[in-house]
Amino acid sequence: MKDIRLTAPFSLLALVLVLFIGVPIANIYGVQLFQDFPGLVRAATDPAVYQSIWLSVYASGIAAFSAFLFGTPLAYILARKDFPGKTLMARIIDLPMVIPHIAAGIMLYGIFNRSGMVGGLVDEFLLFEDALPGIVVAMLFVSLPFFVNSAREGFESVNPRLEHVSRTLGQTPWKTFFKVSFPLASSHLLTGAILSWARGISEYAAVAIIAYYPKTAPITIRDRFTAYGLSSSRPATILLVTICLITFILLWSFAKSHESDWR
Amino acid sequence: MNPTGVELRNLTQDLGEFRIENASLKVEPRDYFMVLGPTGAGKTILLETIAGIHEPDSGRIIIGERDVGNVPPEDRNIGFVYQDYVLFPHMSVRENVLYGLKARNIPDPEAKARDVIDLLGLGDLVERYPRTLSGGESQKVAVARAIAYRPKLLLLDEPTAALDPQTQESVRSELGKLHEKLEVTVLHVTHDQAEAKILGERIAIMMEGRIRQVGEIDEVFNKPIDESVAGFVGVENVLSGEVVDHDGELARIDVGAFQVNAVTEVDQGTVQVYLRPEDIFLTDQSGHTSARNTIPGTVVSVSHLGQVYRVRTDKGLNCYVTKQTVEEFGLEAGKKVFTAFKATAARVRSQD
Repeated sequence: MKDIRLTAPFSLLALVLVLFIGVPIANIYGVQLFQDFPGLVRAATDPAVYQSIWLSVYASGIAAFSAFLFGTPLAYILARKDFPGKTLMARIIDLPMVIPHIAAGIMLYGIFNRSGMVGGLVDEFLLFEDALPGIVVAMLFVSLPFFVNSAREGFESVNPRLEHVSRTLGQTPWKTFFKVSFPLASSHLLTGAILSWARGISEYAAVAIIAYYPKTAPITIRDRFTAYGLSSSRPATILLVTICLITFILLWSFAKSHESDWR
Repeated sequence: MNPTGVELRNLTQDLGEFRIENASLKVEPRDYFMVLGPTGAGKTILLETIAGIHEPDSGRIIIGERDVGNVPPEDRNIGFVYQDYVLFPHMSVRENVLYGLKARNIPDPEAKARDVIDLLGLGDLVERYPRTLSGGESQKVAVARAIAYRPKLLLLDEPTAALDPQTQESVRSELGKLHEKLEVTVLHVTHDQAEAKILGERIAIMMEGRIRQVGEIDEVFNKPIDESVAGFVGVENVLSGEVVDHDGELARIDVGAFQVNAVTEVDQGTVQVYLRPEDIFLTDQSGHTSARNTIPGTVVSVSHLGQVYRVRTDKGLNCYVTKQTVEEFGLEAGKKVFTAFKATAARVRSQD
């Protein structure tokens, strides 16, 4: 006989959680598709809606790429080197996860507004307030830890001896990084980029403080909810969720296929 | 390319968990040099430091004529094989072997890779990825990758430790052949005495980060420098005594409980006598053998070691016997026996 003393209660609790996530998603699709399909079509053809979704996807993509560009060297250093202050450095990177995002928005606004420390400096040619760069900065701030931690885990999973062997085989440190460390950590890097991209898309509070306009999708949805209620905000929500889900599935399956020949 | 020697001068390296203390060592060109030491002795660190992975705290490393103190690993022209092979998992066998050839911009890398693949009989595996290889196959690929560009010095870190006994045997003979064929200097570290004896010409014993003894294989295995080295190389009988007589060839040495006849040039003073347990045999009567030494005693214990039995007598002597001997003599604690060994089996080192 199978021993179900542990697995039965655990399965039950697990099921509660799965339903907790699955039911609201299924519900919103069900209600919209069967009770107000024309509303969905209207939203999909509404420039205010699809432009805001595109802006979210696009700005967050830039933020994720910036996280990748600056976060990869940082993650590598954290994974490989020992130095005084390393733990402090890692904790600082984690801070955006514990700082309330509305506070993050206020802090960033303090630096990036037209007369702020950075915003004032580049005032002539780059505007953050109510502009794309402001959205990107807010998204980057809140999503950076997701990328760095995932990338760090990736580099930690690469046996340092692989790098040592590469060096003895005649490869320079740079080429060793690009031929060994980077490809072997790439699935973690991609996961980290996807996570930080998704985190960026979902950000409302920090973005709203620094750049309420042009409106990102969360701001558009929030606006409609406040002004007209649930039925008015639902179609845009569904479109945003659908685009996110499709993109995630594509990226995950790309990440999987990309390493299946050797892992 | 001619193989190069390698010399360590007072090398010190402290990596916290592992360390090397003041290691000096000279490996001649074309040597097959063994470093034998227990796990945790710092053997891997020693090789990695020679390879340039770690910068030594002090001391010098000379490869060939060149002090490689500031030379990065990629310019030291060495081959390195780790115990766990560390093949590049995202590259096929062929790509692994090509890696060093391409990194070094060696002309016609494909042909050179094919040569070494043929040399090691890896032809059927070239398109496979490392995760699909057996331990023995991975090991060969790791060796192929390390020798493809014909380095002058090959560093082997416990290359057979992760293999089953049959594979170990074939890998050892393979390594021996490669050494002859490639005319490369090999520095091989291991914790396995048998491996050291089979492959080594000269050997260093490394324990707790220190090089304890360097010499010819026979010298080190038969005349260990002190009791801790003796214990490690399997010399289970270390007797302290005094030379009481010497006839020009043979010394008579009083070790307390009995006297030992030994062929030695040491003709006086305090000495240590080393006896390997496999050089001592048992008889049930005195004078039954041609051995110069026959010592009566009582069996204290008989323990099964797998292949052989270890018999200990009340005279403090350990010897190895076969199962057949145990049964034939009815060996058990309390049994009266004679332990016998030749005068050449007793190795003598002066303590004065």
